[in-house]
Amino acid sequence: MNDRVCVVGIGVVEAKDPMVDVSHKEMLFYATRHALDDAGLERKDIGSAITTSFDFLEGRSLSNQFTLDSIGGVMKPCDLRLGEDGIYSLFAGYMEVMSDPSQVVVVASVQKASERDPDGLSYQKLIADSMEPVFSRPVCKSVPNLLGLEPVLAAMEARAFMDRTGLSEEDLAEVAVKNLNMDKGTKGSGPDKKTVLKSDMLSWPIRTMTKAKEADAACAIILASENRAKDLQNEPVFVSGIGWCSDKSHLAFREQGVSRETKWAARQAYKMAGIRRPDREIDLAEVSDWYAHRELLHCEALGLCGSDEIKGCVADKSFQKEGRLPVNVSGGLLGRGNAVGTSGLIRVAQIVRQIRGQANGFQVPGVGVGLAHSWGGIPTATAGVAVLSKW
Amino acid sequence: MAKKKAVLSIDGEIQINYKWSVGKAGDRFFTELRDHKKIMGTKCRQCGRILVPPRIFCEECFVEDMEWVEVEPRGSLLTFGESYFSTDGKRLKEPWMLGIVRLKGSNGGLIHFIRESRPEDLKIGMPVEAVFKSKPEGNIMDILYFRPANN
Repeated sequence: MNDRVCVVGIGVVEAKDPMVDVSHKEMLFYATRHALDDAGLERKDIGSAITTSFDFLEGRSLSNQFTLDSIGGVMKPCDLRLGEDGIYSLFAGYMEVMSDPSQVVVVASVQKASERDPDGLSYQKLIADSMEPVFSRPVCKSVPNLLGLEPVLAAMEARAFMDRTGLSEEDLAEVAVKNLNMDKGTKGSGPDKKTVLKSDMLSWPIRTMTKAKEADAACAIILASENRAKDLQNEPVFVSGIGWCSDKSHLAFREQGVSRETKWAARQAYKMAGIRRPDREIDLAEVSDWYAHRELLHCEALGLCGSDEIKGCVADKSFQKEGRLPVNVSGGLLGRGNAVGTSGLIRVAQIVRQIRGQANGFQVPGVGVGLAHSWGGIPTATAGVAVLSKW
Repeated sequence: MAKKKAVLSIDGEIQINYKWSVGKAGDRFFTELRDHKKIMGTKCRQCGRILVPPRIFCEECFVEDMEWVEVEPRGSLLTFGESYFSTDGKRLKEPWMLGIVRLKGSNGGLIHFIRESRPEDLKIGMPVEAVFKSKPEGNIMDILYFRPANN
């Protein structure tokens, strides 16, 4: 079978501190240039290019029309997808390669959170304005302090999840400690559980340290068919399964404290990849840990552990770097920062690094099959899953 | 046909504030404009095009291989348009005009006001020159407008 789709190049530009010396367009150029260099390709080799972006996050109408020259897309077929996480550009790129296996496809995303208003209110306003406009938004816009909106909405789903699974605040703190320390490279130099549990309470059980901070990042990934990849310099990493799904639009209509969309997206990706027991067949996962509880909620939905095993997995450190199934060894969103809308594609790049054996301080030995997951954030119920493999 | 009864509606608006970085290229461009009333472009060492507005990368060669060059504050009028409507929608006697100006020797263009002329005075390809604000602040409105120039 030679028609499989492969990742042949990756480029990531990210920082936890605001990237004050570059524009978002320049960041995206650097990410794409890195990815092309990684693949040993030039702009002339690009068959088509795809970006994802959110107009209101960036403050530009038709924001992806504005970035296509940063991804080498001038006078190329650019399939411009709006309003989804960057991982969706991987899905669109996959289909592009399948439709014409001779072409090389660039998929990319950029997010510059630091350009939104510095009072910290803008993201909260965006959440309020993402709510269903007739029955929910007027309530959300009437809260005494908008800064509390996202934490309260996150707390509602966390409470439902904890109530069902018996997870404690200490369990969530364990997740935060794991991911915050991964980012430090050497275990144990970051915050400990006590520090996490002492960090400011935003709305029980959401604390400043159990919620990922916003960050600036750009990511570009180059895709090609297996046949095309044979001529290129890197060992290809195969995209062996993809899946995506959205639950009901109205938050209040959804079952609380579960991620049905993740479960269904995973089911689609596993079917394609021929995976029957994800908990045994997947070597490593990068999942959305937007909030600490979300990492565990997603592990459950992805079938990386049973619903009755979640608490046990925290206790026996299953998801630690040395555990049964390492999760977010890159530090995840908690450790690296959350570039909303781009983070999902960065998860894919992290898995590619692991499979290639290029993850440096985060490397887990012998990764053959890895999973990248993305969630759209409150108030969405949108998930994307990609299974990547060495063979 | 019977007139349809409109269902209830609710008012809304979305107001978000941003602080957009002008980037490495914009930083140099607006600093020179503010401090020296100079218009700077970046020249791609591979294809030789001079980009105004400048970029740190050439979108065609897709490389970061650029050098800064000063561009004359004059160029040619690529195209233009006029309007006789004021902000409040009233008809004006004197129109306002926008044009696209390609500065001499450069690639790209600046969308700006064209003044000190009437539509009938303008021709595509004619020479125009920039008129600068007396106290520049470091943004594109430091160029007040372009006007017809002698060859």
